[in-house]
Amino acid sequence: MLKRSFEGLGFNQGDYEDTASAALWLECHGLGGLDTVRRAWPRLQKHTQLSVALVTESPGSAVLDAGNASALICGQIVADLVCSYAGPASTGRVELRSCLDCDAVLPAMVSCAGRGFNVLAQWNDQRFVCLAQIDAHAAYPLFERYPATGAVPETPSALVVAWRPGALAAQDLAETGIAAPGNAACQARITPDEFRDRYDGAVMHGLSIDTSTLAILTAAADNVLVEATERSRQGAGE
Amino acid sequence: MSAHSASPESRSAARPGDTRSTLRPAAEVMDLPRLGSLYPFRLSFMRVLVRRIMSEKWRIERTLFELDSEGYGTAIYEIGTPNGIYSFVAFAHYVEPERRSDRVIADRWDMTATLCEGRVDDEHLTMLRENVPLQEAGRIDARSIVLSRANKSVRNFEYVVNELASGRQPSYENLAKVGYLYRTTAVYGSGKFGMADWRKVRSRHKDFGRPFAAEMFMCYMIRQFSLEQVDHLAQRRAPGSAVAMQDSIKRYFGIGNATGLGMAPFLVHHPLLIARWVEIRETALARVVEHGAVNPDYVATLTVLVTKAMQHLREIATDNVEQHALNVTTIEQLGVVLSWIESNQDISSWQFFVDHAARHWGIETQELLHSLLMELYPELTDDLEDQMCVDEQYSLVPDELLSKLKDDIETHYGWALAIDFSSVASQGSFWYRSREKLEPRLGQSNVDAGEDKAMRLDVARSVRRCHDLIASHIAEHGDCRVALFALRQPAMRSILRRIQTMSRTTYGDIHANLMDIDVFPIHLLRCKLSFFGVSKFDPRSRMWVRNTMFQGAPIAADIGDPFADDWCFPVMPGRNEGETHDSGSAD
Repeated sequence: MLKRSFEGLGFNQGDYEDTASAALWLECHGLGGLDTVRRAWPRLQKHTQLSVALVTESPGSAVLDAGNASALICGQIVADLVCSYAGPASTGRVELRSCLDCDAVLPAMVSCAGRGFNVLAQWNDQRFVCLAQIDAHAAYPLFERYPATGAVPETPSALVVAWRPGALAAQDLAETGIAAPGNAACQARITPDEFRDRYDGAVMHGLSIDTSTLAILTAAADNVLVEATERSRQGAGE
Repeated sequence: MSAHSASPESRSAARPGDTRSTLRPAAEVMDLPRLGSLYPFRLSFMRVLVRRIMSEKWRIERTLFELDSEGYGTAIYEIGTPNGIYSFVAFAHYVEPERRSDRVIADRWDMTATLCEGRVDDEHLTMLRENVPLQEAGRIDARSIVLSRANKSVRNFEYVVNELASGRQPSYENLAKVGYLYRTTAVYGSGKFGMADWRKVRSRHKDFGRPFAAEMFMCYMIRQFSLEQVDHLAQRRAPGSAVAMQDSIKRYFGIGNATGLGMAPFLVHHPLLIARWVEIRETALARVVEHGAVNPDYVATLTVLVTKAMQHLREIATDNVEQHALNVTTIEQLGVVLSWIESNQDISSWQFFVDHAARHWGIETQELLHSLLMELYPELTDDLEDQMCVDEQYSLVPDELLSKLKDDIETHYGWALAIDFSSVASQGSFWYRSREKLEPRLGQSNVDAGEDKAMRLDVARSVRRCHDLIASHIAEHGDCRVALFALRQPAMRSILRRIQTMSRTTYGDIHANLMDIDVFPIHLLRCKLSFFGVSKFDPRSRMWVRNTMFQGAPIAADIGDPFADDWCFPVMPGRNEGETHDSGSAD
């Protein structure tokens, strides 16, 4: 349903696959994927063609500008790029500027972990600073949310760092520019075990969706449908 | 069939992977017309399911059977397995004859049903009664695993009830043309309409943790219900004279199925799964060809199976001229096969046999013989039944160099690059979803409406575009990593993932341009149906096919009895000259 809705908005195939997958991940793990879609809907309607600009690139790192697009649609781009930058003994590092709904970086991190990378990420949405960490081949990350302090950035941004297990000494992590999780100021914390429990609950009992969000998604999905005619029925083998 | 076993030498050599060198090449196996010639085989899902039911002695118990004198009402069967309890809940309805349709766009059916986890209490039953008959228009919950509906074969149904009510058994001859009482017109699973997601089924319900196992079981239960419904009706119509149908006749009834274009996109959307199924089938075949001992006993058993398959094909009633001609040709060629075996009793190896088949007989005959060969060596094949699942992840390999990817495309997708997409015919069709229940339909390019909303099934053309863009990119900017190319060409992200993922499989994508004006969707349907295990393909057009499921399989009453697992290629009892005993257990 989600895929068809984003396809109905006019997304490219890879983008509607990624966006639906990210939203579903957030929903199944208790982070409000459907609410995020609902909130992001006007922007998703506007940014139907993914356009992430490469601002700068240097060995092992890049800065991207999402142009205020949702991380639902561009999170996977970051995952792919950061994995491509991580060398056998070095980190890959991607900064994504002007990107909204940054919690959607989490499913992108899971995809990096699935490819055998440790991943650390930090993002701010102007009210909070979020930290996340996942070990290579793990299915669930650690997630922490902190109140934003100091100067509020002009636009939200995310920083993702990935490295092969053993490729990075602990002291080198400090140079990533990402704070280590576990700070006492943490407002909300979700452990990998809690994520697993949330996911298992969603799989066991299913997901529910409110009628107004369902109506929005259904209306978009309807865009891919073709009116039936007598001639079209012949196209089903009648 | 007698219980053969492989020689110790061959058994010890028969390990998954050992046969890689003898697997047939993708260019041969993934060719669409060949996939459209596949027959059911030992690892088809119905065969595997029935083996499991019989070996684990599942308990199938009718706990509610509130049908009125016309056969309408509610039935519940409780199913006990070593791992859990399930309920099959069926609702039998009256349908005005003019509203009975096998098309997906129908909104009334003779029976509707669901398979649920656990037992069903009154509250649950009320919810199901309100929603299951509505099918797509209803809403059920994650306790349900499968939702389905079926229509009667009216002529057969009435004939059987009348015969039983009159104290007579229905005659096989009258049942030969249509070997079922009901045919399913849709079987939904995997999270549709609020049902349990496949992830739940796979992780929580081991009994149905193989592809389509729950869907196949649903069809098995509809068959069981249909057999008990006719007994019930006959008894209600003529309590004094009615007889129950004999078990041997019950076994000859399958459950009909009508499959249309809806199945075709599945094969395109799940290439990893399809590639796995094909690889498992080919691995089983390669094990048999490579390690199956050849001796007079096996040759004799093969002769019996070929004879049975010939009779099976003779009993297929189809109005489809092309399929009928194929069946006739296959029967003729199987006759030649028997003569060839007779004069080549000293067959040195099954490789020699299949090589000879590939050179001399058509692909239908070849694939039928492959299915029969696999019947000879369950000990070489049956352990593969647990390997039909695959974790369907389509991921970019982001650090791969573009030049390497270009080489891979040329190696693994040469078939797609060979298509001339400048020709009108190569893009003469498009697939779209109709507003009528989202039914997939096939349109003619530049003629039918809806091309702007076409489904993304153009794998071959997308590969071509991707390859051309990569070549241009390398020429203009030099080599780079795939992730950077994907950033610059975001519209290629999906096909890049597909190419990189499928290039790492043994069999890759199906070799077909589904946009071609002469595309034959029925090949896709038959390919998938062969893995399901259906028989008696009866194409009604190039877009949908009728077929029969579970014909010849044991019925619920057989569970616990000795089981020979030889119900493939079912024939009318007594018609198989080569067979020494009836299939299934004695009445």
